[in-house]
Amino acid sequence: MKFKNKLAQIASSLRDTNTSRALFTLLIFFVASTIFVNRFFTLNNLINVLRQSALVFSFSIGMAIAMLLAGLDLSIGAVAAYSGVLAASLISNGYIVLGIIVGLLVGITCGLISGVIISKYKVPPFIMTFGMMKIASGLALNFTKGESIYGLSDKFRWIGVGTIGLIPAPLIICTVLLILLAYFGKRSVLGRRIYAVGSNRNAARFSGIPCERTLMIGYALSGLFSGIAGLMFVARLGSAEGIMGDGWPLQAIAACVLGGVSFAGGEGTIQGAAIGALCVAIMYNVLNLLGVSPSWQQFLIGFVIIFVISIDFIKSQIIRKKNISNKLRTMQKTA
Amino acid sequence: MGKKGKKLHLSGPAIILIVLVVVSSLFINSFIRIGNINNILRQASMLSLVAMGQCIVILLAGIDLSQGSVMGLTGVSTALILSKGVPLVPGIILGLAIAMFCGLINGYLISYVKIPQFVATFGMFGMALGVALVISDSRVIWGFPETVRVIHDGEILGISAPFVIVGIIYLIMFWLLKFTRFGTSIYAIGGNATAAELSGMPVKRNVMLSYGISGLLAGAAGIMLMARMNSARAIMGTGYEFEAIAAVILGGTNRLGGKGGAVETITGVLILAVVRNALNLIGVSVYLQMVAVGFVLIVVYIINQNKGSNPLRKWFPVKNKGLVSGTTGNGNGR
Repeated sequence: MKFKNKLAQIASSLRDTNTSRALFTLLIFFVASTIFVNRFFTLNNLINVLRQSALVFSFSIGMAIAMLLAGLDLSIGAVAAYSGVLAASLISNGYIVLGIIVGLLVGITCGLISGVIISKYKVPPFIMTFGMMKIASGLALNFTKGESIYGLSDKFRWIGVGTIGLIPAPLIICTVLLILLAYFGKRSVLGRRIYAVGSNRNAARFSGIPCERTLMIGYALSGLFSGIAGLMFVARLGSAEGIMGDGWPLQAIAACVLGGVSFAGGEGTIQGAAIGALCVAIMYNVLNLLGVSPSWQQFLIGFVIIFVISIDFIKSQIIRKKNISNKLRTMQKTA
Repeated sequence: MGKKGKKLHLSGPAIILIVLVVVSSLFINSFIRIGNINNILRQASMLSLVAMGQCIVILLAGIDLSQGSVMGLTGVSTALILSKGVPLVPGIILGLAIAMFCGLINGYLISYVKIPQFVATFGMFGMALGVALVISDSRVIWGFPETVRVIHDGEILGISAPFVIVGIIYLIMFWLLKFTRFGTSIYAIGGNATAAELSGMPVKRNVMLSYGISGLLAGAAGIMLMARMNSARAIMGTGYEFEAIAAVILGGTNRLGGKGGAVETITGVLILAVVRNALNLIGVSVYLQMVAVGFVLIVVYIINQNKGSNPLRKWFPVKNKGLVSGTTGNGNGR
């Protein structure tokens, strides 16, 4: 009986339009690439895709949280690079735990600074996180002087390249994060507050939600997850560079948008972002398998983002028109 | 460069610029030399064009992220057109037409299809960059006629060509924004698009045109950059769009629409250029310059936003006075 209830719950959550649409997109991507690309549906390649998607997901979390708060976080790549670089320099000297702690602390601090300035000084997230991007990547590049940091111990590299059986370690880490976030996003006070502040800040304030604190914590979390992403990426590459997170904000936006997280805020889920990350990973993987040059990859990804969002918008407008005409009809009837 | 308006009271950014210039010339020996000032202005000329385009879009409470790659696309395609033997003027006009076309597509998507500006222009960023990379085969294009260099190295009546071009464009833009119906409607749309539409302004057409102008100016900057480097690359403009946004915001143009214009934009561009130049002269590394730019951007934004009679107020935000002064729904900043 309980099991049946759970099933019903899962089914109803699938009916949640954003996530189901994201799943549908993923299905199309997956089926199309299985049919049209020869080497796609092999065990090795699929594991590769999953490994890649774990990375994309790890840096999309921060963006997803910021987007749920009706903002965005352009600094995720730079913050990841800064914390990755600092952590790597400690780890290459043998202080693994200290390195990880410092990496995470740097992430949280950068995020917290953004959050404080966004909430207290009313600076728009775009400008604040853009400034933070400049600051963090400048500091990272200044720290490495433009060179790479090598010599990371294998123990640390396990979180990037290790496997348990066939399953890559980063995938396990990301799955744990996903489950935790998906649970707390819907069930915890903070999660509900983030949704409330994102969808309508005034309404949230009127209902007594501490908007400023929620914003601060949200951006701090975004920084924390950027730090985690930076550590995972460093562990995977075996080296750290100041420029390593350059393209991440754009990929993260792509993942979030494909996963149904709306720019308007308060709409979408972390599961959606994970599905979007899978889509992005499949897209890059397929384009690589087909031997498409990076330049066309750039073009196609821009195109896909516009395409998905325009469909989304046109659909929402049709729905709105329908609603309005329905309302008019009922009004006429009552009159 | 036309920074001389008949303003009786100076705006905050203008004061910041003057303070910066005075401080740098006091503490850095080589700052206040004709050669160096010429250098600052020359470096600022590309950015000032891009920033002017960005300014119009920001006045509409929008954003144009595609400028950098449109710059690259224009530079590359103009270089290819010129190296095919097309004369200078038609070649440049063709290049500018491509740039304007990209901008108009942005505008069409935003005003008629109603895609959010951020998404449309970001998609255009990817597409223009992709096309530029493909047609240039990801290589540096060079070997077109030397005459192109006139745009950057030439002189008209003893004034360097870039200053003349930038000056003329800024005069046109100043006129366009302050004295035409189009300009008035842009401020109106930025303030309240629905109200503008209801009062009979051609909102959709003007939004589309503004993005077209933004693309056009980005293209002009691309051609100027091409002339300066005597070569063209697809990625040569990437990053300019962010610099431009920073410059516009530094100048005091309000992102949520309504305030600002040509004078403010050039002030912002000059603040950025002077900071960069001063740091260069002191010998601060490029990386720390990035940090400084980010820092200055945020601090100046906070100062601009919290203007008050009390100078201390500028530095310390006013405590939430209640519903009216707190962030409203659109404080989310997009």
